Amino acid sequence: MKKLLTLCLLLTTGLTGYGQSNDVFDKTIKPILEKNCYSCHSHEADRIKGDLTLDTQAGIESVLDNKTDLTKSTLAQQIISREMPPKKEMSSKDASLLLSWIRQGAKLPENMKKDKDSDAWGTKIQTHWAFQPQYKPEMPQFDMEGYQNPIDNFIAAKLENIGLGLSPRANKRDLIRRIYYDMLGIPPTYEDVQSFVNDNSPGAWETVVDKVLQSPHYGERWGRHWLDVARYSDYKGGSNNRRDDPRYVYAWSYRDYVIKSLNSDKPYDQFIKEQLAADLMVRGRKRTPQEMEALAGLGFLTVGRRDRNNDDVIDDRIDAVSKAFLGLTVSCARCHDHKFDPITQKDYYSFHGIFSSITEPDEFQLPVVRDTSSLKQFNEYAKLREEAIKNINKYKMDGYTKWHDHFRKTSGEYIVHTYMYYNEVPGPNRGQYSRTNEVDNVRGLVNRMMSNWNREMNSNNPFWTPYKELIKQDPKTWNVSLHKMSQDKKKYDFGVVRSLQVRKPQTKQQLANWYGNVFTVAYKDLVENKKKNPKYMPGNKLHKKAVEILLKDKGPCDLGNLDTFYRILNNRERTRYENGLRNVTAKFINLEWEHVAVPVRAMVVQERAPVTSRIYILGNARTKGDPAPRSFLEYFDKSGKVYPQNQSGRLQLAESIINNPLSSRVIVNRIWQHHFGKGIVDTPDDLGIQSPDPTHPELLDWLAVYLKENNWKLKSLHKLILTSKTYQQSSKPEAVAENLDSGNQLLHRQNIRRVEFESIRDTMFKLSNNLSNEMGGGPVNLFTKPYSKKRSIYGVIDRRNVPELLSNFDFADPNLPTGKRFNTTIPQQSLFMLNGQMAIDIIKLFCKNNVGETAAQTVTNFYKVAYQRMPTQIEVKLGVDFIQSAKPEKLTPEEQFAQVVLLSNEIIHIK
Amino acid sequence: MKTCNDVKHPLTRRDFLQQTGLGLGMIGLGTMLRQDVLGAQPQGKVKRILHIFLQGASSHIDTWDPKPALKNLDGKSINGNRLGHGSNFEFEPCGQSGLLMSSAFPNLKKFADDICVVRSMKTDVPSHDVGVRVFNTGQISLPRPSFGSWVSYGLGLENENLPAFIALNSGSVQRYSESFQSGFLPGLYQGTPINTRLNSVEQMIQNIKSPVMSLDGQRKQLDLLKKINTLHSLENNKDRELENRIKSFEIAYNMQIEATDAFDIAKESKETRDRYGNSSQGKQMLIARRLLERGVRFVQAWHGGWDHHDNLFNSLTARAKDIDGPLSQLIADLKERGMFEDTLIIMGGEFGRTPHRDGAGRNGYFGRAHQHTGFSTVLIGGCVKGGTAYGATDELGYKAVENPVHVNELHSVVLQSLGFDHKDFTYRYNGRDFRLVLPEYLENDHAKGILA
Repeated sequence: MKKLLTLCLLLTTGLTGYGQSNDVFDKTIKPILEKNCYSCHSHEADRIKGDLTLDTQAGIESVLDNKTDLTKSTLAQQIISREMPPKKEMSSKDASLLLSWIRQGAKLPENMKKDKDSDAWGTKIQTHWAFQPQYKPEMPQFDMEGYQNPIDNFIAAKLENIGLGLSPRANKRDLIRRIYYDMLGIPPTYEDVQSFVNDNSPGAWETVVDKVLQSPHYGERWGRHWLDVARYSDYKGGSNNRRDDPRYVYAWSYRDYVIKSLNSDKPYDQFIKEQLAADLMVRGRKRTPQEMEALAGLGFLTVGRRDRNNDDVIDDRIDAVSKAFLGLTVSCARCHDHKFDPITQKDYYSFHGIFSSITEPDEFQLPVVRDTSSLKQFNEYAKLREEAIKNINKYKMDGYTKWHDHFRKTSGEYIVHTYMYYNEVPGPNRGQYSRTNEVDNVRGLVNRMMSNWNREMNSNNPFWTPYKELIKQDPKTWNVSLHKMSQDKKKYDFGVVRSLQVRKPQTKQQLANWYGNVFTVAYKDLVENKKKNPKYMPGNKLHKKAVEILLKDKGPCDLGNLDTFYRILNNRERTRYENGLRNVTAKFINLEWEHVAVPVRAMVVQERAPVTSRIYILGNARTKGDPAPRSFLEYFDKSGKVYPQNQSGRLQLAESIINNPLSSRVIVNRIWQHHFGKGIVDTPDDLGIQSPDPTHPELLDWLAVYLKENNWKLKSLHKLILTSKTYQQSSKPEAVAENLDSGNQLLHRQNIRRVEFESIRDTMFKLSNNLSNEMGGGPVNLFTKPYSKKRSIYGVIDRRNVPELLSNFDFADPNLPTGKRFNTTIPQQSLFMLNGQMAIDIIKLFCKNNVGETAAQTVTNFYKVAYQRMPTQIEVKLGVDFIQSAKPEKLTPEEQFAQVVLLSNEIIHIK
Repeated sequence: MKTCNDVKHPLTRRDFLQQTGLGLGMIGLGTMLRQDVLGAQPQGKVKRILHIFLQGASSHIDTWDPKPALKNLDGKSINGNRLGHGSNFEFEPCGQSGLLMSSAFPNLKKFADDICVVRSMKTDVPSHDVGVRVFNTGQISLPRPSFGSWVSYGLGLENENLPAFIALNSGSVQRYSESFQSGFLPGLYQGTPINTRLNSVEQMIQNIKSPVMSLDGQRKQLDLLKKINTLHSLENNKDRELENRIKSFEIAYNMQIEATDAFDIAKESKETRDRYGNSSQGKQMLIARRLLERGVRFVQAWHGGWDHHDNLFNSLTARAKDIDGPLSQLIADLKERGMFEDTLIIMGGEFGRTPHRDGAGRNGYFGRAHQHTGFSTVLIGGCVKGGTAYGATDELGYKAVENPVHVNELHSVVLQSLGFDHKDFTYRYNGRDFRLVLPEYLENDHAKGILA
């Protein structure tokens, strides 16, 4: 209907429908109203005049009094007659835009503020479950024997409503495989399975649960889930043509921090706080070793995308913080108030201020948070590091010296070129002139140098004043002029005038040549004599003056600072220099990524003088509106408390987040999702108005409160879930139940799930006895020989160039926080398993380690290792038949069989 | 009209993906199922797209946007202290329509009546990396799904044995990889980059051929795999996801054969290969034809080397020659096969070049500098108003002045040609509806006048 209406209006007016689209209204009409009308006719006005408000539809309707012809209404007539606005003139363009909007009905977007006291987003936010205060709902009472876990009470109660109950417990092998993949990301061994299957004690399951919760692989598995949310990457991303090394040197310290934090069961509130403000948590005393390492948590803020525009970097941080911890899409409010959730643009810019009030240290000099000097390889490392830094500095110094000499040595030539460039070459040809000339075998003149010389040559230095004036005159008059100049020794350097009187240049070119020559000779003389006497200064007065000009600070040849001098070079030379710099820097970064004894350095942020950001109107940095003091989201903190003046407010932000019920709801939902394949809310990064309704809102809150009661210990939550009957149910679908509980929304069974790429790779490595237990350290190479034996979480991630293989396997886009990966099954995945070199290499290794003496033995061994069970009779027969009939190719029949075993569904699906 | 604040959506592809509660598992398995649910294909005229991307930014003034006034200003000051640069190419009216065409593209002239030149293109920034990003993702700063991925998402797979989106290139497009990445769209819609300079299909496509097994041997392996998987699946009451994966191995097997076949131009007769010629683009256009025939939805052919700052006449002549013959051949072949009507060919660079001189005048010819305020993009196919030029730049070619078409608006037009409303064409990710087209370009749809 709405669509039709727009269309009609389009036909009658030939204009686009403003009222229908917020974007258009916000961009065109709202600014006009704000500029011309709202200072008197809105709820924001200091004093509403004429009892008329134009920021509510009702107000507008009151002056839209001629419905048959809206242009005859009071509202339109006031504008047409230029009665309004009274004290200023509205531009005719604005007026006509406004009139066309009136002609279309003068509709305000639905979410425009209705009046000052009511909520801008309508009534829905008042009842939205996620924005309600938190309480511990009453547990549904169930008179069922053996239901001792509250989770089961909540789940079973809902199932009972539709006439279903929980499915029976899964068989023990499936169960232990399930918990290993869920919690550790790798399968148990055959022996693990057997000992659980044969353990008939009542505490058998709990023993397994406790074992996996103690395993260090837990952090490696669940750390990856969090890294998806933290949009982790070892590369900076952003601009395509960045000229520096695109890698972060120490992003991995954040990755290791996450793994360690999870393994040590760090309370989640502390985990939040450290990632936002670890640097502010300890004041006035020395940090403990743990507190030092916690600084690496700040990587959450810093490992994001590095766009050229700093506002985009801040946006990335706002996005990550709000989605990860609050399940809110605050970054939607960058250009306008959030369309659905109670988040204003002002809220966005109050966060913007927080993240504008921090800086980062030089990326090569980040603080060491874990010392490794006790390692035996440390000395070797320290030496290499020193060498690498020395090489970088030497490269810079060499470059600097080279150009420093070059520009001084060629000053004579540059003076002449500068004369030519600015006085003889017509403007349009200058580009060509500077590109095609060369000095001292360097092609192309450096424009910056010519501009420096031009400034110098036209300065009031008495050395140059003769040049400056003569160049404006006809050379025929120079004799007379020089004579006059010789009378004023203060203004004109007498040595220069005298020499020119002797040399008698006939043309301007010759004049420039003379000056140039002075510099050439003077510099040559200086260099030669300095070899013998480092303190040498020329005795010749002219030469001495020239040398002073060459050497002075901010003079024409001053290259400035060692780190930035090369920026004055031409593109070609500059690129050459930058390429070289990148090469020596790469060696340094390689060392920091690869050496075993590298100390852990944290990608920290630091406080700086706090700033208050102003709202960017429509997200445009050039049009700033009201200041937005640093504070929490207004709707969620009705006190309107502003964060302290003298701090960025990160610590306070962390506290606001922790105190908001959303933070516990969000993390409980994330954890639930990874245990069941689906969250209680299906959009883990967005719990706002637009999110689908939770399947079990009471359970979610009950668990959220439970988590807090247990000191935010995530492992306590895991344990509660893992020991529930709900978790331990069979995953087998049954037709009747599937119909009653379509899509298994209410969890009448467990879900069958395909494991993620990391687990697939780690499984294959483990089954072929090739997986290393080594934890932490610089990122490693996963896909090309020699394959790292470390777990996949340690693989290098380049956010600009995610390997095709990872994308094919639904890897999370490292540019955006991602709480839920896709789950697709596409042929490219199968092609990798079938034909990929890595897959084949692993298969061979698997076969070699497990092949038996007979075909039957081989089949049995393979099944035991790969599936942690014995093959059935029919499976043995299938396998033996295959091995005996397959033609040997580059893979032996046993290897061919091994490939089939490792390709099968049983390997990569958790039942 | 859909904006950020509509809550209810019609059943779109995205809803289907999300509401069925089955995840995306089965979508990769072809369009059959999708048609069952969605009813019909998008109702647009265009079913497939070939995007020839002239990377480096081709000069519009020498190719598609004649500026006779500039001839008289050659070497004279224009635009402040710049020197004018009249084109060294000749333009003549071609076809029945009399579309003015440049001597740079002699062979294409016979298709003048099928060509629509958008002469009033504009983009945001005259630098290559940003320009390429805007043209291929619609976004200036953020990494987002590529244009080709959006199109593939919209159209779905026609041939499940081939990727929906293939980006042909001669290597070194790594720095532009976001031009064919799927971003937050499912990996299924990611462009597969193929380096056509490589000699064999195995080198071109990752994992397309086993380095250790023959197809026959693999067939036996897969037969066994199917049995093992079926036993497993039965035990789990044929869970849908398990069934999908069983099928995906069969598709993968077929893909080895079909993709190998599609890229193997040795299967074409020598005469055909000669007609397309030996140049890099000859090979790419021939492969492109074979892919389009086999149901690939979006073929992107990268054609680099158009950054002519100097010696433009010689360099552009050579670059244009590379594509002129092979593209003409491709058009002829598409027509012969009855595919021309529902194929859209887009050709152009990331921005245009200035009417004034740049460079040192090597070999007696100057070049042109970067320009984003006005340039040309060429659309060829049954869906466009052939033999016409849409919009115009000013007298010298600096700026689009008549009906300016921002790159985003061109994307809108292309979406419309596929049968989508560019405003409704959204994808929900992480709590937000994302669109290919930026909001500021949503309302301005005069450019649909390009479409027939």
